[in-house]
Amino acid sequence: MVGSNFGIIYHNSGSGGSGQVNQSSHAGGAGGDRERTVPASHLSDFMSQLEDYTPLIPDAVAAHYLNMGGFQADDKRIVRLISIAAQKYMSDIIDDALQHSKARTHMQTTNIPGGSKAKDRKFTLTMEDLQPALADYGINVRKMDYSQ
Amino acid sequence: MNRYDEALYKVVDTLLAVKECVVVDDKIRHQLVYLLRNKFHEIAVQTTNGANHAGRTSASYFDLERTFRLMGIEAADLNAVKQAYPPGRVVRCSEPQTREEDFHKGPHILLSSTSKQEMASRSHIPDYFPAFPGTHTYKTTMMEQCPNKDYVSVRIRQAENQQNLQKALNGFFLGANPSTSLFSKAKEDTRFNLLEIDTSKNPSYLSALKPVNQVFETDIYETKEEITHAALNCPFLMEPKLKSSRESNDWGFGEDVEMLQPLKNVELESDSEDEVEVERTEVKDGQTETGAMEGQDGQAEDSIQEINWLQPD
Repeated sequence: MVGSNFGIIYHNSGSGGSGQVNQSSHAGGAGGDRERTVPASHLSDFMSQLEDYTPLIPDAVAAHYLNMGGFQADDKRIVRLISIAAQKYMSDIIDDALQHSKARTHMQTTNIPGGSKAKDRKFTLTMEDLQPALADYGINVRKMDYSQ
Repeated sequence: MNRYDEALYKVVDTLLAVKECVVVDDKIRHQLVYLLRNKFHEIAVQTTNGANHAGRTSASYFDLERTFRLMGIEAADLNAVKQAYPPGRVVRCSEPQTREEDFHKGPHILLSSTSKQEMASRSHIPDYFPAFPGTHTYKTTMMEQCPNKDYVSVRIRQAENQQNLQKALNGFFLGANPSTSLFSKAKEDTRFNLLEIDTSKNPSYLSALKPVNQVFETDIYETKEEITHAALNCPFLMEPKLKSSRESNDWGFGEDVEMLQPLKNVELESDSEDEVEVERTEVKDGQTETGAMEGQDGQAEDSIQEINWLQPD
C-alpha cells in the first residue's frame, strides 16, 4: 500500500502524482467522488509527498499520543499527516496570540511617548494574549484566582 | 515527565522560536503542550469513531479524511505548513530507556520472612516496598523453659549447691563466732582462720548411743522398776542355772536340754518391789521339775497362773 493512492478514483484530476483516471463512474459513488474530489485529491496527493518529509513532531511521539486515543496507524504517512495537522493547529494559535501580543504592545508603545520601536525584539506571550486567541477556537482558559 | 512530553515541549519551544516569541510564564508552555496533546487525542478519537461507525475495526485513511473534513483541515493549509518548516528542523525524541521498576527484580528480601513459604504468602506485597522490619519488633516468641535434667548435670548442680551452702555457712560462722589463725605471724590475713571450737561436755560416743534424731514411742532408757510381760519370758533376766544335776557322758549324749515353758496366770503388782515368783518347768527325759521362788509373801503358786490384765505394766 505504500505509494498507492488507496484505490481512490479521481475524475478530471490534473495534479501530478494522481492515481489512475477511470472515466466509468459508479452511480452510487458519483456524489461521493464529488465530495471527495476537491479536498481528497489534495490530501491524498499531499500524503503521498510525505514519504520523504519529516515533520517537526517526531513520528514516535505522534504515534504514541494517537495510540493513547485509540488510533493505530501502520502507515507512517498517515502519522505524519496528523503531525502536520497538529503542528498547523499549534502554529495558528501562536500566530493569533502573537497578533494579540503585538496589538497590546503597540497600544502600550503608542501611549508612552518616545517608546522603543525595535523591530527585532521578541514578543513576550502572556496569558492575556493566549486567552483571546484560544477563545476564537472555542477554548475558554481562565486563570484561577488562587494560582500563582 | 516522559520522553514524549519532553518532545512536545521541545516542539512548542521550536514553534515559539520560529515565531520569535518569548514565554516567561511556564504555564503558557504547559497550556500549549496540553492543547497539542489534546489535538492528537481528538483526531484519534474522531477517526476511530468514524471507523467504528463504518463497521471497520481499525481506522483507515478514509476515516482520517472524514475527520479532517469535519475539522476543516485542508490539504492546502497542510502544504503551506510543510513549505514553512523544512525537513531539516526536527525535534529529536530521546531513545526509550527502560526504567528500573520495569524490570522484575523479584521480591526484596524481607527481614521478617526467610522461608519460601512465608515469602510466597506475601506475594500481594509490591516489590518496591521497603523491607519489613524484623519480626522481633512486633512478634513475641513464646519460649518454654527447658531445664537440663540429665543425670550428670543434676548431680553437678546438687553438689555445687551443697558446696555453696557449706561455704556460706562457714563464712557466716567465721564472721559470727570467734576464730583463730594457725599462722602465728600472718595474723592480719584472716582468710585462713579457723573456728575456735570448745570441747563438748558430753562424751562423743554418747551421741552415737543415744540417737536423738530418732523418736520412739517408748523410751527404752526410762528406768522402770516393774518387769513387763516381755521381761518375764526373757531368758537373760532369769536366774542362771548354776549347775546341772545329771552327769554328762563323754560323748555328750543325753545331755539335758532345758526347755522353759511360758508361765501362765501370773499375777503382777505394779507397786510391789518384791521379786515375782517365776515357775519354771524343765523337760528332761520325760521328767519335769518345777521350781518355785518364794517371795516375801511366802506364796507358792501353781504352774498355771492367771495374768491380771487390768494391771498396767
